[in-house]
Amino acid sequence: MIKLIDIHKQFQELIVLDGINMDFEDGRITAILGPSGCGKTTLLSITAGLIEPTRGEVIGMESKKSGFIFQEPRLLPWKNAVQNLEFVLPDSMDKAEKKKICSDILAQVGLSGFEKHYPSQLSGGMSQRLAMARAFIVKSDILFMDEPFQFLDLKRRAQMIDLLKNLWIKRKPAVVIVTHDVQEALLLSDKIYILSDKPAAVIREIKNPMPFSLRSVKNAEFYKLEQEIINDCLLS
Amino acid sequence: MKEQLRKFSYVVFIAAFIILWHFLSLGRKTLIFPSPYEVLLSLVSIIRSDIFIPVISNTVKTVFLSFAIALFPALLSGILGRFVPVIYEVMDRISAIARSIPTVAIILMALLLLPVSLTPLVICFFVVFPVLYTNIAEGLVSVDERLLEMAKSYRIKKRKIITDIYIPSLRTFLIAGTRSALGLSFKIIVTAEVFNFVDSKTIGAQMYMHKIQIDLAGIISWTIIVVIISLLFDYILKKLFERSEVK
Repeated sequence: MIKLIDIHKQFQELIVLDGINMDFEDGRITAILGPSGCGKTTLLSITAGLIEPTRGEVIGMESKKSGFIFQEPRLLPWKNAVQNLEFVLPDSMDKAEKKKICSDILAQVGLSGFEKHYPSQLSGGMSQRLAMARAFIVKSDILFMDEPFQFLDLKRRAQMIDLLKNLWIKRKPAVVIVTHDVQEALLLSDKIYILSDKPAAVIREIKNPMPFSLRSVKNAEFYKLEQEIINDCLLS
Repeated sequence: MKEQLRKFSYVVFIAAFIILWHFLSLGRKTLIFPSPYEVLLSLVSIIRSDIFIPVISNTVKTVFLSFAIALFPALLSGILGRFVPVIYEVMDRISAIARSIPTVAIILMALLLLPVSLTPLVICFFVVFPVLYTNIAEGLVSVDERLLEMAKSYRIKKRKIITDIYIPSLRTFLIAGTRSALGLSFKIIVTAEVFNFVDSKTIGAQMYMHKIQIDLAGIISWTIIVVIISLLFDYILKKLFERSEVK
């Protein structure tokens, strides 16, 4: 388990995070939900060790292998699909093994046949699938996702959510997903932390009562919970 | 069709230039202004002479040597400057000063202070290094921070970040820097060879000898040779970079 204890972050005079406490359990998906610009990405970056908090600590990340899916795919434009995947694999890994796992993961994300394609030759959705493949190929203990579907249309977003579920279920790494989309949070996560506007603080912690397989926008309970979050937390 | 038109206009331009030159030379008041035909004869005689290949190879060798001598420190200081802000600040000022020193001042100081055999190399270094350094430093500063953050999030080793992110990001800047620096090297080396008459088998020395003989046709012929060689290397470089270009 990874614990955030009393995380504060300040940029000059601007207080962004104000005493955040959270737990990210192994094998669970946790969503951090909050209004745009409230400091969700900063919190995720602190958890992943990309930036330092002004105060507070992150416990349990030291020995963890992590992967990251950003808002944009962040692929290396001078490397093709396979080379982008190989970039995150350890140098010590055998070439044949690298080739096999790259080929397997590309098949899983529906990019077989695009091994030699460069990011500029892939569509936005394909690039994001490749970024997702890169995150899952490292067999990470914890995966950080920073609004990874926000630039995709409704159909592509639904496809990506299904793809994420399929990839996640195989190894079940801990996932921390940052989003401002209530449906996305409810569809994917077991636990949701709702943040207030800046300076961000946790205003509510919700355990998703619906099992993974039953989560659907068509489900009445799903709709009720969605409205409750929107009315009680995000609009209040 | 467009390509043919472009080639045709190119030929027309050169022909018009030669015709104009020819008519100007007809009205010459002194003996020294040669006609295109006299330059052609001089050019043929230079190319057919025994010293042509040694002269060319000596100058080209010096150009590439001085270019290499400038490239590696430029690359090294550019990389160091990316990670150590003090080095970046210091190098930025040094290269700005070096860029503003008149080339002839560098040549004269080098001639007075250094062993003659070293002067072309040193002169070229001082002129080419700032050009290469500026391109490399700018390239490194403009590396996409988001890619670096991605690499950090996957805990990629520093060595791999340098080879797989910094160096490819540098490519465009390195191409521009290399092409302009190599062209500049040819100009500077030939100038330094004119001043530094220690070996007669260099292009600059040959130009100097033609100057003593008031043989403008010879000087123009060597100038044409330098331009052709410089353009040829620029073309080769362009093709090499195109071949290695990623999609």
